Amino acid sequence: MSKRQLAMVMDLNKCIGCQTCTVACKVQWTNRNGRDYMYWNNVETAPGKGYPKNWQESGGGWEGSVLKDGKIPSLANDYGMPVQLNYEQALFAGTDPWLKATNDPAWTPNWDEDEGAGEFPNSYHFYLPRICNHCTNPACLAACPRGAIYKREEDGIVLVDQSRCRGYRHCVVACPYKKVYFNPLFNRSEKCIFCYPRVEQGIPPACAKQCVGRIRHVGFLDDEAGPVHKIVVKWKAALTLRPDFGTEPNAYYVPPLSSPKFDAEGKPTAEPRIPVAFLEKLFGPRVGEVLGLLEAERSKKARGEESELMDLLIAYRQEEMFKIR
Amino acid sequence: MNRTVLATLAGIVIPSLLIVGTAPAEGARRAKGDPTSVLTRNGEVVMAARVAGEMPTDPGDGRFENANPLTVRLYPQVAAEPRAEKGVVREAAVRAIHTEAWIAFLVEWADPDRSDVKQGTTDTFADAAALQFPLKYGEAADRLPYVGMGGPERPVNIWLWRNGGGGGPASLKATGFGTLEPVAGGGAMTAGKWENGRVRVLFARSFGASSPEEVKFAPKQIGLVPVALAVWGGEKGERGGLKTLSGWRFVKFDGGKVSPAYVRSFGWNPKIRGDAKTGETLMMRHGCAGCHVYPGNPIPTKIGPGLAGIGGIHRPGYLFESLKDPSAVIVPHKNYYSLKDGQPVSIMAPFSGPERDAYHIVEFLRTLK
Ligand code: HEC
Repeated sequence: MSKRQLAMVMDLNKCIGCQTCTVACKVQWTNRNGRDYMYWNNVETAPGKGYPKNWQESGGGWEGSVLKDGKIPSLANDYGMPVQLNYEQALFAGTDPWLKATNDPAWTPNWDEDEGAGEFPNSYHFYLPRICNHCTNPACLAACPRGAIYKREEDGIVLVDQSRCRGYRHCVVACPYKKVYFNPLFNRSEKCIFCYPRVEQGIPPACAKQCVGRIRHVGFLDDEAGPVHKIVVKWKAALTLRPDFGTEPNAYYVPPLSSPKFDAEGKPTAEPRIPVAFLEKLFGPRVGEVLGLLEAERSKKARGEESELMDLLIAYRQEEMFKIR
Repeated sequence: MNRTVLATLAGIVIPSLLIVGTAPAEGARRAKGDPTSVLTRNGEVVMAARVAGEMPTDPGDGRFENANPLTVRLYPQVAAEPRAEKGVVREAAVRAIHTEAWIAFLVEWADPDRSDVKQGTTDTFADAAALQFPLKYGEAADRLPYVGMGGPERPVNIWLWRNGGGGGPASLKATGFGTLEPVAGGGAMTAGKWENGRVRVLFARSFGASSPEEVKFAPKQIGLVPVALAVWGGEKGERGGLKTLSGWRFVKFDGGKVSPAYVRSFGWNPKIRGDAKTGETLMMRHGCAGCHVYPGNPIPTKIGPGLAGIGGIHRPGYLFESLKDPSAVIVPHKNYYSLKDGQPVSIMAPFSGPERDAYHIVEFLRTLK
């Protein structure tokens, strides 16, 4: 465990799946040199298979104090070969009238975007942005026989030391979120670095700073004046993804409320559209309690009363979402 | 190994044990004869054949026909995490040729499923092979480095071939599990060929090294060089510690000098031989089974190194010492020691049972191969 922990809270009630975070990250870090397929930040549709395909069933994580076995996703089948377009032929040489893909991928990020689950009028989905969780008990770190992965004392950011990594990929196997990616060009594993060069200068990670929906708060868990402490510790309004994996993530989610389900006559019922059981699988047993809290605070605000939690989540001023010093 | 202890022990007559006359330490004793003859008899010597011409660049180089191959048994690496529970390649043939200026090895094994790194994949691994040499050898080096990646103060130089290349320079150094690093400015020629279901890998280098962190050859001064082999079956996901390895073997140059003291430093058999069956029972009684995985032990414990294959990888002298004085050579992995006054101390306690039990246990460990 590190001395301090920088964490991120993502409010799923506000995520519109616009992928601005994904693009911000990609442009900053992963648009070249064997990283084309990597999405250190991705936004997937839940329910869905996600990216890489079926990552939730890919193994890894902890069973007590023992690492669980897992699989290494394949580029062709589980990530999907990045799509290449025939720019040259279609736009310059003029030999092809159509701009189109030159390969036939089996999967890509957002392959199952907006599919969700359920039957009309009770179909449902929400967006799930994912970064490396910079876990308190990182399975990737434990799995590396070379000690090439480390967790920084000062902020808990988990990094792969590129000079120590030899591309064995035990970390890829061990990460239950499949947020460590193998770079086939350099024979090394790479992952989200929580934009530490930005953070060191007091600038939030690109995904958070660029988020147009203002869903991402960044701060130290122990900083009582910071937004993350207030949402996670004081209000207990945020939960981690798949806590059953045992790695103790430091990316937190405010779970999504949903519109009521309709009955056979088309009348709204008291049941939420997104089944609580589904959310419990993703975010653990406290989901119901947190949804209740959100509902209560939201109606306070609707009645014109004060709600610190709602004010935090609304994020009137973007600067107030980040406190990283 | 501690020679005084052994010498004393050898003098004690323990009735239930078989005292072996000449078998064990003979290489060391017979100063007049060739001190390496016992190694040859044990099938541990690769005889380097003298040839002429330039350093080979092709595993198919005809001059290797002049060299006798040594068949080397390989055992799954189970001493440190992650452990190679199965192990793909279990046997390889090693040949060596040399001139005044260079040495070349040909390593060959059967492999029906060739595996190279497929360009742009995330989940494939390459077949690979490596030769390992002690950085220092000869009489001045009092003992061989730990065969699994060397150890503190006993660095090894590793020449690595990976099918399809990649993985950086071919010359590496290590001082224990997890410490492998490229030798800056170092180099060794490697080339592999897959033909008729067999992989043939060439390793070659001039006698002199381009870095002080690389092994040197000077057969006129020292005519016997320790070498160990590791092979990775990439198609079964072997990489890093998931591999099979041999015990120390020895390349011998004709006419090179080899002193008996040097051969003695490899660690010899305890003079007394025990009974393996008794040893197996004693492994349970003395609690070894509570920390070590080995065939026949139902307890799935990984506190200490796995012992499967240990009789094939290590010399009996080393095994004996591992019992009597575990901290003399600590298997170089962070899980296996604690620090006491800044000194690493094995978490395995020295064997405190009767002397004869140690011999029985060593005899059992020797059968694990
Ligand atoms: C408390 C757990 C523990 C017990 C009990 C234990 N060992 Fe060990 N053993 C270890 C550890 C840890 C190592 C690695 C460190 C070292 O080299 O000393 C080791 C190393 C060894 C090695 C060297 C392995 C290698 O790969 O080089 C041998 C052989 C061995 N033990 C045999 C035994 C035998 C025989 C017994 C019973 C008399 C025994 N051990 C009891 C923990 C234990």
